[in-house]
Amino acid sequence: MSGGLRIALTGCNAVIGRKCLENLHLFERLERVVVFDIQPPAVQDKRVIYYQIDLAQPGVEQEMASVLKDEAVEAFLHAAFFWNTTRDSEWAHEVESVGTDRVLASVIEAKVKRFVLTSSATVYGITHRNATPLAETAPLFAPKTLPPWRDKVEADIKVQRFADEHKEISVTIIRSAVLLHKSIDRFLSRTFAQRFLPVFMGFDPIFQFVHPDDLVLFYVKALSEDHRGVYNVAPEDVIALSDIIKLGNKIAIPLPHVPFSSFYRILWASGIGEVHPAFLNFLRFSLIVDGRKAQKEFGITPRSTLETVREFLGVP
Amino acid sequence: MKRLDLWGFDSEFYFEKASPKIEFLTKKYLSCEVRFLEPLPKDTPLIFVSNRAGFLPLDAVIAQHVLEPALSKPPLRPLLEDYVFTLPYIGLFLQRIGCVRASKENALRLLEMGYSVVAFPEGAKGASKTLLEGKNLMRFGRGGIVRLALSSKVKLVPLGIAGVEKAYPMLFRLDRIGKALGLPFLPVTPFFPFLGPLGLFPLPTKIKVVVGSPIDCLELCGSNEPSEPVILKVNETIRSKVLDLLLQGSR
Repeated sequence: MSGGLRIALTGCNAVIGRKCLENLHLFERLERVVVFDIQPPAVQDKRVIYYQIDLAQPGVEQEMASVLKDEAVEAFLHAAFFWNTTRDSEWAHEVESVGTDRVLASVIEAKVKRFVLTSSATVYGITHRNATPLAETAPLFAPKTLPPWRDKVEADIKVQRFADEHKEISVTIIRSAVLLHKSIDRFLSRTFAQRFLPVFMGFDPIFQFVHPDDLVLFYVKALSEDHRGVYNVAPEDVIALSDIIKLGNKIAIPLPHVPFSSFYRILWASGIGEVHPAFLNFLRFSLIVDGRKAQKEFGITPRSTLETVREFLGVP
Repeated sequence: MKRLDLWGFDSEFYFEKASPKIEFLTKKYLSCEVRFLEPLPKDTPLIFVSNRAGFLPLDAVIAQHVLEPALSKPPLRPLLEDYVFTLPYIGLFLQRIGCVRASKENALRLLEMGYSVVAFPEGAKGASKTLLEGKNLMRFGRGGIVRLALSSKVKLVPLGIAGVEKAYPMLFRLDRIGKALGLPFLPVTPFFPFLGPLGLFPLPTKIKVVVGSPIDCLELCGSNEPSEPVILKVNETIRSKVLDLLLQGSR
């Protein structure tokens, strides 16, 4: 062993896991990356070793712990979460909530020094209460306002508890503002890529967007050094939905929110539609977080929301 | 492109578009009068504490406008109840003119940025007062404004706004229907809901704003970390000062 950094990660094909693997050059003295996933990673690198693991299967923690010990893994990134709505909520619960228990059990067993969780500002929920720069201590309203996020909130809370109970492990939770990039297939990226945008009459929510290239810098640092605690990652500026429409030369389709939301809820219940109705709240309410703590602790300033939006829309 | 702050405040919209219209509303339409008991310090942010009346926060808009000349950094940032931000058009307008959700974190950050804030400690209970209850003051929370003043080391200024209850003469409120709509209550005035959204427009009444003298909470509390009974006592003192100013305005 040469004494370089040895990390492990789950969710290699989700945005954060994939971005980390695409940016291995950002790590100083990286020696080994152990990947646990159902599917092999798209990135090929001689430092990357893949183990086929299904977090929904009972007993995988023993297998993972044994690999972590054998590979002398120092830092673990848990990024196996579904950021798009899935109708199979039982499976999602097994992977996200119960899977987090299994990951944490393997981390304790293998005495990993550092643990990093990918979370999102959406765990705060999408509600009128969140039109305010939310600090890391703000309550997590997602189970009430964004039901598909219930398991992500459970995972976030479990990891917070784990951090309190295992002071010997440096635990970092990163809650990023909404990611916006052409390579990301999520609700808002898909919505803003369309020519016609639905808007709710009488509402003009404001957004904060993080560029994935900036977010990965926070993860690289969190995996390489101890940064204990919960951190919101967000730029210090915001943009209104109406400005995204203007900037991207898009056409707004004004809709009355009560009848449209009710209609969409019926469609969703009938098995039509790929986005959970709760996501429509993105078109009414803002979700703004205070990213100053992470910027100070990590010494990284993410690019502005406006720059991220301009790049996404392809406008100078 | 709008230049918005983290709360959605649009300074260009406020100063160039909304302010002249609010000037007309307060000066001409509502014939609003303002009286300062003593000049306010102009070089520092302040926490104004006011009574509240009416379903829509007309008092916040009035306070923001009439106190503007007295501030170190305009505009005044009203701290409002959650429900107003759920109302289409109205919530958006309030956000764009600088109103924010009432929370200690918001207030502290705005004060740090040099803005003065106006708090309405009666909250939704104040907004739900009927015409006959207009001159009553509800409970002032549990001393949040005193704690805010102590942690920010900013002086409190009591404020009485009289007459708003006549601009929105609420006859009674429908609590169950309101809650079904996601609101704390639904007001019934001679014009609302019968005239639809038009019924929400304020009636032309005379409004008097009386601004009291600044209060140093640290002096009243005796320490930076006072006990709960001391906080509640100071809270009650502030409430009685606001009530006194409200009665002065009502005369």
